[in-house]
Amino acid sequence: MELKEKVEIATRKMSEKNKAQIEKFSYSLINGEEENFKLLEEHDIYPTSPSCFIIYTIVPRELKHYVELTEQMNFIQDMRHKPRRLTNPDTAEIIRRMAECDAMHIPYRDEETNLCADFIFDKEEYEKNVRPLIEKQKETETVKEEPKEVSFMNFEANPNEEENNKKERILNLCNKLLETFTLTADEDKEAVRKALEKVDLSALSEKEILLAVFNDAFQVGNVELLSTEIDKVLELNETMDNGVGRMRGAA
Amino acid sequence: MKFLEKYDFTKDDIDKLIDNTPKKIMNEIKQSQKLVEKNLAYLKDLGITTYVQIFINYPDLFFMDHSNFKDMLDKYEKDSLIAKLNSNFRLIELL
Repeated sequence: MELKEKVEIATRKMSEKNKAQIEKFSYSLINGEEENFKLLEEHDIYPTSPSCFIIYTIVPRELKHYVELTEQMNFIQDMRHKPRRLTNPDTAEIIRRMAECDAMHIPYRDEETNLCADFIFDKEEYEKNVRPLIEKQKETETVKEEPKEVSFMNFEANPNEEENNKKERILNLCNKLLETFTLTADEDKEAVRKALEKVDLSALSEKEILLAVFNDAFQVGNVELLSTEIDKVLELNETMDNGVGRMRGAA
Repeated sequence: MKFLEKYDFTKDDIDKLIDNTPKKIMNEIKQSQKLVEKNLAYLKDLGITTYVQIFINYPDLFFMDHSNFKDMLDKYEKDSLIAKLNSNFRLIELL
């Protein structure tokens, strides 16, 4: 691809003022990968300013993965709006933040533009502005709970024990998913264990946890397939749980 | 990226740079270290305190030929340039 063609594509949706600045970022334009120019053009993603040319230098395989993933997870319009985000699309983290906001009823998507708030894509901003809100909301909810009398008849499970049980259950589900994808090597299991350590189990549903863990551990390209397989594993697990429950009830 | 420590980059700054920068650009920073350092030092010595953020967000800007890099900054009144870039480092895009 000739430089002239690269310039034409890269500046297609740029203001005249920005077009005058391309020289400063010419390294990324000149050395940008041809495949990336084509891929981003196909997905209607264009630099909004010359500093965005850097996205053309991403490893093409990785960029393709990011673009497809953002499309499947329904935030590709956010990448069109700020293409520079493609240089660090930590999709597992983005999904985790969305799920956490959903769980805490914190709005993050503009109804008119359908664009997500910046904090969804920015770890620092999220931790600085959203985390305190979540913590405050959690505190309020804890205070609202009525104190319960402690008696041997009304024995409450230890919170740590509950957390451990949830973790064990999730690990079990992860193992089933690993088997589904025939990922049985020790390093696959280790990758899942490490990814699971990063997830806040209390804030997410089982499906959201599994999506975040597998995306983080394997950078899954086909999220739709992953989502379908997770649904199947969860359904099977529920059926088995109910079956065991009924058997116990019958006994 | 050890050389960045000379310019007071913290470990977090370097991690952020690595996270936000394509491998090709990272390799070029290593390959063109002398040029990058020259531009970085010029920005720092000018009194721009936001040079770390500028580098993290616009690493490919530092591959500019040094004389062009210098000209880009020198065409503005020094104190006003420093004040503007120190209050909003993103203005470097518009110089």
